[in-house]
Amino acid sequence: MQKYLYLFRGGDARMAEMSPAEVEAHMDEWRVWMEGLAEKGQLIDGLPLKAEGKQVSKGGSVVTDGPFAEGAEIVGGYLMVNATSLEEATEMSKGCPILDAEDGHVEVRGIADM
Amino acid sequence: MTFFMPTAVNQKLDHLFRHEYGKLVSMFANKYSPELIDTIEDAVQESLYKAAKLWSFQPMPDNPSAWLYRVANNQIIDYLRKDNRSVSYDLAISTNHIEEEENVLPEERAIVDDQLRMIFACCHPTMKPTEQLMLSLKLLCGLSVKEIARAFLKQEEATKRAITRAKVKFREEVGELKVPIGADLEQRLEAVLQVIYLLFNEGYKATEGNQLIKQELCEEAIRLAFLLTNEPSCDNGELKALISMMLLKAARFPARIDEAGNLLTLEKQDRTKYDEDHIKWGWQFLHDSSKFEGSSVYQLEAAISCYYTTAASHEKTNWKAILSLYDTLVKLKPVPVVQMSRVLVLSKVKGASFALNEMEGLEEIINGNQSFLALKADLYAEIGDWSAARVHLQKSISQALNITERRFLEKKLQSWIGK
Repeated sequence: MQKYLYLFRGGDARMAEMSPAEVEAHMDEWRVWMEGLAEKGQLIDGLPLKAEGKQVSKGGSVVTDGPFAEGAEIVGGYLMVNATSLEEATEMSKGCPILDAEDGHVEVRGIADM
Repeated sequence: MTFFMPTAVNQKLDHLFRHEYGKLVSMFANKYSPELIDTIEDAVQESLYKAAKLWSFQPMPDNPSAWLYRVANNQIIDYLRKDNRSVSYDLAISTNHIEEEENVLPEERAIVDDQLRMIFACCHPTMKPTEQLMLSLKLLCGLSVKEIARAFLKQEEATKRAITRAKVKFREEVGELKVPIGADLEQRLEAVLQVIYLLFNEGYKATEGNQLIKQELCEEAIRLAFLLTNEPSCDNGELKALISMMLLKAARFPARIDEAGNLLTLEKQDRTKYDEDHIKWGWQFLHDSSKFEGSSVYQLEAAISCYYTTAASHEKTNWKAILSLYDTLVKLKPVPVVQMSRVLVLSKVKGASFALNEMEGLEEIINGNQSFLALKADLYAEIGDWSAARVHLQKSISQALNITERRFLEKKLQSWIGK
């Protein structure tokens, strides 16, 4: 087994349009998807990320507020999973509810194993 | 005196986010001001997004309400600070110490009281009944504009405008949130019960549209009525009768739709599917309502529902008893729908020609009323006067409000051709 990281982007614009009942239904979709991964022992860890943050650069001499990117480019959350190959990890990511949103996407990256 | 609602009735109301929305909006409208309703709604909405994101990844906390309350409250405080409104609302945000306390979810009883005051605010007399209805659904029940439009089969834009109008009045006219007392209470309570009644009927009406969301309107009406039972000055015979009527009608929900999703009329429903708990509680509330003096419209309607719902079969319905209730009801409430229902029952008791004779005095109402015309057609068919039956059915079709109704009637007309 190899570890892979999913980085989630987008989907916020759609969420802002949702009614409370739809927000709850959306949350349930995520939970079902994650429970599916957990049952197969493929889920390691994951959490959403807050919108606010800092950018540190130039040897630490420059600190600015927040991610610079547009809404759909900001990483909104991450998930670490077990999979046998990048192909399998990619296939697994296709069930993610963020893909229902027009601007939602998942970046799948292998975690380097030294 | 805690929030009471029979578990068997309550268990179907599994709408955490929607109900949290209504509860939180009520709490903050009480805590801050009705003037801040837009800010409050935004903050509560925001707290739900945050919660959904977090709880997608990890289990919900033991007390999700407290979490949402804290996040939404902080959001409102942030807004007030940024907007420099802290002067007028300084009590709420003056020191960190208070802020800590402010973030603790109030006790159940206080939350119920907040919602009670909110019901009266949403039914403020400056608003039209439809505005009261829509505002209640938005602020107390957590339905979105889109969902409300869908439930009422209205355009989203028109619904949005009505809610916006109602909100302007809510911000400007309502003032301090309170349950009225004395003579004021009587008048306002009547309006509140009326809104609950309309809400229920809107959901119960046998028209096209998403049945699920319509059923939810009925559930919300019942929930709001149960909230009112927590206020002793509101908990009168009329409220009990209204609850009884709603429970007895809602008992039929499981039998109202066939497997293909079509609505079934009373005679075609499988009575074994009626919800026994609803019937039991409906009966109990009808009984309790009779302990109060005088008989109200709601009580008569509850008693009628009771006869319909508890009859062993459609044929065994106690039409005579129902007719005598309608005889009284039609005097208290001479509206077309009551008159039509009475004529229908009359035809069961005294036959179709008797009922047709009775209808002669009602021509003016009948001609503008699609379902009345359809009933008249049915009665003519029953006595074998097919040409009169077809004429009336055609008139009814020309007034049908929606495609489902029209199709249903046209199918009937086809089967009548050549008779």
